[in-house]
Amino acid sequence: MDFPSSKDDEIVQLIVKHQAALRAFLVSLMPGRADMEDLMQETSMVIWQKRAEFEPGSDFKAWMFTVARFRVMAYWRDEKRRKESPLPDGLLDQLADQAMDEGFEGIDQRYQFLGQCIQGLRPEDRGLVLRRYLAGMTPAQLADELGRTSNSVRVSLHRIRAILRHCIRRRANLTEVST
Amino acid sequence: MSRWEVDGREVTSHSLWRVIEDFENGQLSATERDELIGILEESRRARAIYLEYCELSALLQIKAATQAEEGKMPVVNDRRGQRRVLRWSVVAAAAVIALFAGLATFIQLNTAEPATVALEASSGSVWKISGGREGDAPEISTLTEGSSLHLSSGTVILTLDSGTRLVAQGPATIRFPKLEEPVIEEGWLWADTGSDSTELSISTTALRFRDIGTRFGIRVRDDQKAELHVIEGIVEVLARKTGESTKVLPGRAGVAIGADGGMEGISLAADPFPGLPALLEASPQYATTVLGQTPSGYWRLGETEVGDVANEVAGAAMARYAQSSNANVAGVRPSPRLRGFEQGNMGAHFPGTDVQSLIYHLDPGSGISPVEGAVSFWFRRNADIEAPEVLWYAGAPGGRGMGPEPEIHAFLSKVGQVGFFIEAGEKDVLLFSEAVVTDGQWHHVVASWKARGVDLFLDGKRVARDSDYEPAGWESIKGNNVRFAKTGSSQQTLSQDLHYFRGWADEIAVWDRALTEMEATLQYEAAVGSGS
Repeated sequence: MDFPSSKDDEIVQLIVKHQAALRAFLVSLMPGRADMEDLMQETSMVIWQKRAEFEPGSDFKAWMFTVARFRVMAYWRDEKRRKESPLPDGLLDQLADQAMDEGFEGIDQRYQFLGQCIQGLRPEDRGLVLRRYLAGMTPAQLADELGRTSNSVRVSLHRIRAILRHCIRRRANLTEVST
Repeated sequence: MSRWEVDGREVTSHSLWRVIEDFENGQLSATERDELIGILEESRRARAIYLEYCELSALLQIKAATQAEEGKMPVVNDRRGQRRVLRWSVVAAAAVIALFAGLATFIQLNTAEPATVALEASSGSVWKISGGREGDAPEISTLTEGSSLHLSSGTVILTLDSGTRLVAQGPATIRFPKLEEPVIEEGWLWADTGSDSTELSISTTALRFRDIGTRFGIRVRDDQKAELHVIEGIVEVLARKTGESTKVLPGRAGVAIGADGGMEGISLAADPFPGLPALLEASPQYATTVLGQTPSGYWRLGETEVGDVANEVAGAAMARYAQSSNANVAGVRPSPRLRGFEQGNMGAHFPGTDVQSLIYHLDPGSGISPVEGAVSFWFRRNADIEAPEVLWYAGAPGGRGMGPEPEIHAFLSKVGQVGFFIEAGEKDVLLFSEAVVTDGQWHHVVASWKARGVDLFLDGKRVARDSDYEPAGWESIKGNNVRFAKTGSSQQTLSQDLHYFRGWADEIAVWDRALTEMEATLQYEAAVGSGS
């Protein structure tokens, strides 16, 4: 039986630590795609398989994004999917470059703020926005399930997201001042 | 809310956010999608908003999965039962058309999402919504039809689904019987309806203002007259009493309108919209709180050399350092007592040695009126006060500090009390603090005046009040005659003359309205900062 080395432990911790940033990176390159989850799994697996190539002490997140970027590009270059790509190659490169530059810094803290802000929503709004993202349900599917019009769900989701965005930003500003 | 141009198209972060959301939902047409791609390709700023959006989606996915795993997924009301009732009622309407058509409409109204508006506020704002819904966290509020906004201090922005933006400036009370038909009971409401939105109508007790694609502001004053300030487009004013309507175009002046529709020209108020992005994005600090209270002039004294002094209020005039005063000195800075300032905040120093030791032209353009106004600033003075010294001064060129020339000023008494004076004929206003301020520390002063209410605040607390003030009839004091550290006179011979101020000053702001006690207190609380 092989016991994981300390480097393996470190890789596992780094993968876990940067899961939110990796997810945000993939969402930005695969907007609205349910198969993003598959890419998320694949990328994590490839990172694990290639862990020997990672140099301890170097920028793990940048390396992880590079691996993810190649996976996404390969995914969209597949002949069967080429026509489905919602974004042109040039823009995908621009977005990947900018995301890698900025690196979703502070995302963990914003996740904490999101938790606080969600608690400030009305229960029905909280339920609606979480259901939207739990199973990737579209507003039309949610509308059908809830017996509302698609437009009404769309307007509600927009309002809720606007509130959450503002709330997270405000809390981030407050934290910046108090630290 | 920020807005900028990409290839000649105006883009707002709000509208872009919405389009990205539709894109994620697969609800954009091919043309709309191409337009979004064009904007993202051209603008790094747009891509930053796109990435911010995607980050929120990712975080919501994680939050939803976590909640589901923990069995904490909130229940969403399933309205399919209601829909079945609606279907049934529609079928039944074939038999009893009039009765069931009414029932169907009733049920549809009940199942529709009520129109709501997310509310954004500048930091330091204090507001309450009654008759609607209010979020648990103070910065999360939604306003619904039928609710009222009570804004004690600061600035609140509402963006309606039509794209119309409404900006309330406190103190204000505004009712919303319908979101597109607000009624102002007191205070300021600005509107920017853009060019393609639905009709907006704003009412006061006596008047109705109908927008015709425009940007404008309305203020209901204490005397119940309404002020109208048109920046762009046309506004139609209808006087309910006479039924007469008048169209008002943009110009260099605003108008004050009586209940009968009679108009008189007044100074045009500053357009708040260009400053909104910075105001909303700003961290909650002293400066943000002051800006949220919509001063007519605000000079932070951040210059590194003497010369022009920048005015933080968009479009308002600059002040000027005279030669013997010193820029590039430390202003109010973070300390255990005062945390609401930036590291490196600069201020001004006045040696008090000659007639050139002052800042002048502290006039936003509209002047300082004896009828109504306010001033706030910070000062620091050592203990060795030998004569009364002037702090802020608006008055006649020859004024020495105690009239009879037109004057309003704040000063230090010989023993170090803070004082405030208004020349008002037979009943001048003269207020003093009991406390003396000779500890070498920074102190905050607010003086506010209007008929039957002159207040002096020191470090956030009211220290003196005159309830009998009747404004004199003199004209507003303008330009060179609004100063800090020196009166209008260059002579200092009499013992009661106000001498040049010797010390430091920072963050000088003036208003063309009186400030409330809450606003004065909030300024000081913002200076004290969080955590205390």
